[in-house]
Amino acid sequence: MVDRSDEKLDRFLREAFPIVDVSPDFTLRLWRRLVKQPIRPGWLVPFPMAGLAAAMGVFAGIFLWGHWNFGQDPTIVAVLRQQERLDLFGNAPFDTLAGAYLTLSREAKG
Amino acid sequence: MSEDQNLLAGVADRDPEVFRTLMEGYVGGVFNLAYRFLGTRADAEDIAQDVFLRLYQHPPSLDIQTKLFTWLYRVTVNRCLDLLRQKSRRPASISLDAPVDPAEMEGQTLAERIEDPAQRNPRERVAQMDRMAAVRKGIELLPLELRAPLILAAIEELPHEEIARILSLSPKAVERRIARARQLLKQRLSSYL
Repeated sequence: MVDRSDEKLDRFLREAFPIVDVSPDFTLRLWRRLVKQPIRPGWLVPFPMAGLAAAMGVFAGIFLWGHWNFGQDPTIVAVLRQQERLDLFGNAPFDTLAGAYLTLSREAKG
Repeated sequence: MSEDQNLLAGVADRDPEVFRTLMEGYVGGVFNLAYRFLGTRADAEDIAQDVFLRLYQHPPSLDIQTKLFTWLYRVTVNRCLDLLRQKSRRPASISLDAPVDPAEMEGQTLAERIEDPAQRNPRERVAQMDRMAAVRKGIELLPLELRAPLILAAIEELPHEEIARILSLSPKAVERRIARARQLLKQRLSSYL
């Protein structure tokens, strides 16, 4: 059995919230918004985001390249040691920085 | 393929005629639902526009059992609840230039209404306005989780199963919330009942 107060409450609720029509220009405004916002495929990221991602990729690449390379041979001494090889005449090669350094340091020692 | 799925396929194909047909069929329901949640025409129209914009840009892929109406109402309710949560964090304000009750007095502002001497049956009219304001205030004071099922049940007159689908709740939970909302509202409106 429905309480009279329930019936009244339902009536008051419908009275307080009558059916309302949308504004006459509602459709026009919606079409304007639809025209202004072209459909963008999901995979197409906005240009600033693509630029940021590319920049981050470049930095990450440089960092990792340096990290891996210096990880194998981390000190400049080791680089020099690798270059410390003499030619047939007992001279260090002069065409590299390391060779030139070795040659000059030997000459300086006399 | 259901009729709704046909319509959505047309929307996905960017057929403006299909979208127009669909919008004309549902705009009244979506707008009125938002208006009942938010209480202002401007907010309700913004929400209705957002809902149809989303429908056009990302038409849902519904299974044969889900009605488009359910999806539209679910999106509308969620958007309204989001907006109400945002507004609850901001201080409220009343503008003298804002229309008081668009349904009753289209375009009339609060200032005009206060000054208007030519009201028919003024005592009755005042009593009705007072009651309507009390009901609206009562609804506004309900917690959001109770407000949504009550509006959908008592004002939109939807069956509990449909409300459960819209709010992603069980029918039992919907029944409990409606009963609790009615109880709270009756307490607040006891002088009118």
